[in-house]
Amino acid sequence: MAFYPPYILILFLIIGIDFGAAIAMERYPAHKKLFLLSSIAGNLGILFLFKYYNFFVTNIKVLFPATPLPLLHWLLPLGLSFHTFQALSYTIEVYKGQQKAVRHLGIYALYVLFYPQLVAGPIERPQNLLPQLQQVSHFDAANLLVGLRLMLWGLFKKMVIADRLAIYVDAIYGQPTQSNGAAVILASYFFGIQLYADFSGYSDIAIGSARTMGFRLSPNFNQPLLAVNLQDYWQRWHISLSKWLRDYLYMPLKNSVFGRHWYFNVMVVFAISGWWHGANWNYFIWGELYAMFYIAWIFYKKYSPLQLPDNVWGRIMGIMITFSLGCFFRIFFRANDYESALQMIQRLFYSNSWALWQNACNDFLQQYSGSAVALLAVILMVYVEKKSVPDLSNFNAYPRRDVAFCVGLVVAIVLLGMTQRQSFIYFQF
Amino acid sequence: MDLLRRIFWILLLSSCLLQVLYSYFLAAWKHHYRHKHSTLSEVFEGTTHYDLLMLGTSRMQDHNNPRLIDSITHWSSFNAGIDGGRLADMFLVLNGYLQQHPAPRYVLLNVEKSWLASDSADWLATRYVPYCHNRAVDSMFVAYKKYNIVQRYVPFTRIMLLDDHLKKTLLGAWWQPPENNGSPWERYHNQIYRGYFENGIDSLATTHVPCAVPQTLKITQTGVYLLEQWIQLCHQHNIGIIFTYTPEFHGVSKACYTNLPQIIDSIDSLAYVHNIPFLRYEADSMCYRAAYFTNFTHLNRHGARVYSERLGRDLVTILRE
Repeated sequence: MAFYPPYILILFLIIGIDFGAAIAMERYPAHKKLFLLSSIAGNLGILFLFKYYNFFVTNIKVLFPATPLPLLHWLLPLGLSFHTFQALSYTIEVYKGQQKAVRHLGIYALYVLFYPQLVAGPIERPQNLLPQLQQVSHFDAANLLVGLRLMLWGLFKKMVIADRLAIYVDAIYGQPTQSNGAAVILASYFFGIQLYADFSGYSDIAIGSARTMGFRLSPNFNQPLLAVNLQDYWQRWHISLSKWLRDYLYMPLKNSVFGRHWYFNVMVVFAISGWWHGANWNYFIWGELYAMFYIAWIFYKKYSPLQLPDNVWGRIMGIMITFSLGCFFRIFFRANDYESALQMIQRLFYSNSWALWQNACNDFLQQYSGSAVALLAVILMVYVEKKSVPDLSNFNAYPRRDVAFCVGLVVAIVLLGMTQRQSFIYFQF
Repeated sequence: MDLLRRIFWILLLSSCLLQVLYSYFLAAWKHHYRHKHSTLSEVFEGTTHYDLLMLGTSRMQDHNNPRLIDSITHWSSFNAGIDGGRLADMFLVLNGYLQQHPAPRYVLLNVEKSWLASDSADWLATRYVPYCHNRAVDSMFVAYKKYNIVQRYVPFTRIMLLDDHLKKTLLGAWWQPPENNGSPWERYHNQIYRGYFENGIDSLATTHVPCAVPQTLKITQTGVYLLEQWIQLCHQHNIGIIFTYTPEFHGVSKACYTNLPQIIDSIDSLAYVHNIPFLRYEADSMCYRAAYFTNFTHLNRHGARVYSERLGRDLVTILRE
């Protein structure tokens, strides 16, 4: 992952291909499928070349060692997967006739290059963003306030929660063979929270900074930590990607010859979702684990006589099971490679006595007291998000509460925020 | 308009609160780290002229008593030893000192073995946050990108430069004893005089093992470069330089380092090239007396007294020559 100035040309190439393809689709409707396919081939070709080529060649060489294909030593452009998908959604929508081709190159370029969400989403649909870009935007104090508040909230989640938990998570994942089961379990749970705070923090900052300028981006999260099952989870986590995969991959598969084999389609969608994150078997396994448990959940819901009760306790159990499963799957997401992930899973079941649990908790509280602070902030995060709308605009109606909340956030960020931490996790995709 | 006013109030209230917090941290720093503050405030804020400025790590800070040295040399000296200090710290302290004070006649640098083996020009940045108003400190923060433009001009945002441990200590500073009070080997030390921080009277238990595994130090280009930069700074201000290597208990060098004599010889060669006197005490008779040490590398009160007198006499001899 890198920001390398000449790579801006790649963005211009994607813009050129899709801008031209969309206009051509409208001008020559008889050949629009051809133009769509060329747009898809152009976008995915670039993505393949930078992101998947080496992975492909490495695996081919495992099967056929004599293959003369060379490896490319190119850096992955920052946010390539995000803006490729966003650009593709435009040409697909034009093909489906649900979006008119934009005739102004500058407006279209702005749609792809819109800086708040260029690097890590949300992956916008043209129907939402393009009309806003075509309108004249006026200053609005309410937008400014909502946007700034959301950016503060995102910074709080990133700097106070995600980066603090990362201290512990990095320490445990950095030495997979030296940690006991209790520490691995703690680190895996914390990584689940870290990933959410990190990515949703970025999304909040992106959505907030767009809002300060009067643009409304789509929400990307809806309290996924409180999802009661895996189906519910994927409606709350990385919503823009889930919807993209649903509309442009799952639905076409459903309407194709594979339509009757829905479980096959689910496996394909989750495999693509995994590989979208990274060209690595780890991500594939992560995606497929989700797919298998997702399918199992659908069968369980349909056929099992033993269902979770539809009350508070049932929901709490659902949340705990869903969150725990997610944390387990994410071992493949977080581990540096496939072998480390397997080592971590072995460790999960290794030396898990009560005394070791006590040791792990004591270690965490004493040696990683900085990370422990983040757990208090997690309670605040869950509470605030539960009580608010996604853009926190309900605070507008309560001036004093709003002032106290924002002042508290600023002080917390300055006092407790980690300033020496790494960049956002999703920047690498 | 109401909403803009609300943004204004949020900014105002957060700034006020953070400024109060930052002021509290500064006050707590002065209270808790009173010795460090007395040294650093004299270096970065004082204006007194000293004939001799002593620089080094805790081994300088705890060993060289300016009162005894001055009684022999009839100079006025100041001990600016920085515990845990590295070469970049020595550069900063001298540079910061020269912003405020007239140049001293001599600088006595206690060269540490690890300095020349350093791979990076790292320094103890957080320690100097309360002194960012000093131009040298400010330039160092800018040069090393330790703070951004907001932190440079809005003081309370410098809270973000403090690490967790420091923030935690400062928040509870008024409810705990000042730094070092109560630690076993520094019991009874209460004499703070011109940067000198007297160790206690406890003596070394030689039954302890100084190091489990000896390590080999490798001289790096960065280490040599930094030391030469420091020498250059002294030359620019016409300051005479004297190097020292203060005593450490005789077993420690063999147990902890495989090549300490070579490292000290390298320092000696560097001193020779630059025509700098080098007072070496690593093989002094003092090094064989456990009663003079509080631990393997630090002298206790008795040791510091004997050493300061010895050093004072040696300084007089050197300068006569």
